[in-house]
Amino acid sequence: MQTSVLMSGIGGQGIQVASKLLCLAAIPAGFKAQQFSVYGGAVRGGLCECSVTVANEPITEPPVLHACDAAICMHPYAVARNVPGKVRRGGLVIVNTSLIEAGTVRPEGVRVVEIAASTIALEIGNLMTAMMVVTGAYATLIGAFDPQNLIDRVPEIIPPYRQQHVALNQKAIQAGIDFARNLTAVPA
Amino acid sequence: MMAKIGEIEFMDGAEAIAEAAIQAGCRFYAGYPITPATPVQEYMSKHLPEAGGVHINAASEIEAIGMVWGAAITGHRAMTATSSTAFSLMQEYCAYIGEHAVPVVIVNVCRMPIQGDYFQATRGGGHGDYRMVVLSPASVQECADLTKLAFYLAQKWRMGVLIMADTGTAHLSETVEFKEFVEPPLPPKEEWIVGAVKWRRENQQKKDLEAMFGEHAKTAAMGLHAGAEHLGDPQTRHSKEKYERIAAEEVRFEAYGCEDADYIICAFGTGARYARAAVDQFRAEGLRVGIFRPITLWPYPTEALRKLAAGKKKVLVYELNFGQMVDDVRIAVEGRAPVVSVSDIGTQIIGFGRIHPADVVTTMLREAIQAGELVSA
Repeated sequence: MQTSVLMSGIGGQGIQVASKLLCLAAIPAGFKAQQFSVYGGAVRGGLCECSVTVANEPITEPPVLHACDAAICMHPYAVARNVPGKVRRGGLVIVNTSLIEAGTVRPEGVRVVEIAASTIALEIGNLMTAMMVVTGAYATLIGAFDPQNLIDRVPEIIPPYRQQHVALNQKAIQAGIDFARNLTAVPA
Repeated sequence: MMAKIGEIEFMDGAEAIAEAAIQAGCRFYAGYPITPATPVQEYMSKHLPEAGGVHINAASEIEAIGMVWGAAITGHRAMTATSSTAFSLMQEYCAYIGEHAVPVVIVNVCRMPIQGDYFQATRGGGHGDYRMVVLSPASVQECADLTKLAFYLAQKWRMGVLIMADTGTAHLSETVEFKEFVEPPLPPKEEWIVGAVKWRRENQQKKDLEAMFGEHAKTAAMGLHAGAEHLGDPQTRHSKEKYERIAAEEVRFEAYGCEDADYIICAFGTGARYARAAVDQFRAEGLRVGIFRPITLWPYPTEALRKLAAGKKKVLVYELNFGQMVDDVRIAVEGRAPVVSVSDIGTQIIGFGRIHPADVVTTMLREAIQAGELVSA
């Protein structure tokens, strides 16, 4: 099994932290993980793209993905750069409809899941946890490992001087997990 | 994070190099920050003191390499890391490190173009007749493994060893296992380190020193006579014989699918990751293509490539530069097959560097394979 996801948005949305957390959560389930980030230097609001591949065999996927099994679009930039178009047929696209208009991302042969992640994050208590919400939802939808692993490894991914935010991030991940579970409970 | 032997860690290539260096016994690091090499220094500044070592943020790259040279000549394992332009600044000292036969590990995390420093790495950017062993990691696991090897080779041969990483490997995070590297016995450091006067007086015959240095025998024993380069085993001194032995004994490479191939693609480091994906694609289509990946850029795996290349339809060389390693491939192949350079500096920006996305690499290589060939109906 090898599955890849391209996470795309802008600097400051927490995409890098979330992509590394996703890798850390996959490892206890016996997976190998690979992560690569492309981002502008030292700016918020610049383009940010992270590739993550997890596999139970040695990873052959090149680090910068030109085609992937799933994409997460956090910002209209991601749509402008045709990130959903890189998803292979039968794959998954998660769209943050707080910032991207619902119904506008419709790649052919790909499942689209719309989630108002930034809105949910604000309700939880901090806009910056939107990516954690989406990561919780993604891991649940892919089902490759127990999404509880994400919650368990949050303290490792957050620097020592920001440990007061651990609980909030865990709450955001749980909200994403709950969202995805409710989603799959509804018949298509 | 301080990694334990045998445990699976998740870190980037720069951190893996730094961690492996500490595990290999590196206890002195001096460097001047530069993207994309800075994470090596960040890790060292945090974790080297925990291991009882010394980290110094130098005032310049020249100062950094000078301090590393100085630390190494006292017998302590020492390293610096830098990136392309700043590695140029270090070249004078690299030449002295070679000439004086001092074991030093240098990391060049290349940027823009990310494989543009091949000539500098393999031909030496400094003056004189020196060589450095050049190791080229293509994964985070290799960043760890080759760093441990680098410290061993540096001391075994008493010379500079260069780890030629780049943005694509140093900023790539992967699962990595830190393996135990059991070093074969090394010659006593006292043969060459500064300050081991008593040891040399007792262990190296006075007449040997006199035969070599005449009236300077006493200062030679102190290691002060024109540096320590004249001391110790002739095979580890700065000598033609040493470099010939390294070229014969230290070659490392990976060949995948080359035996039955009609075409061989030569690529190294990050470039090889993308070329490998193209090879898998070609194989799935029934095209017989193999990949030859030198791990030591010097010594180059000349003999191995020569044998594999004989009779192939083409040997393609894919690099993220304007075509540098292709020279070594031509030397190796010696006309036994046509050699084609398929190189450019990349189209997609990845921080301080560029790559070609895997589909572009596949297209470039496919066109090079098909160019000038008769297409049967």
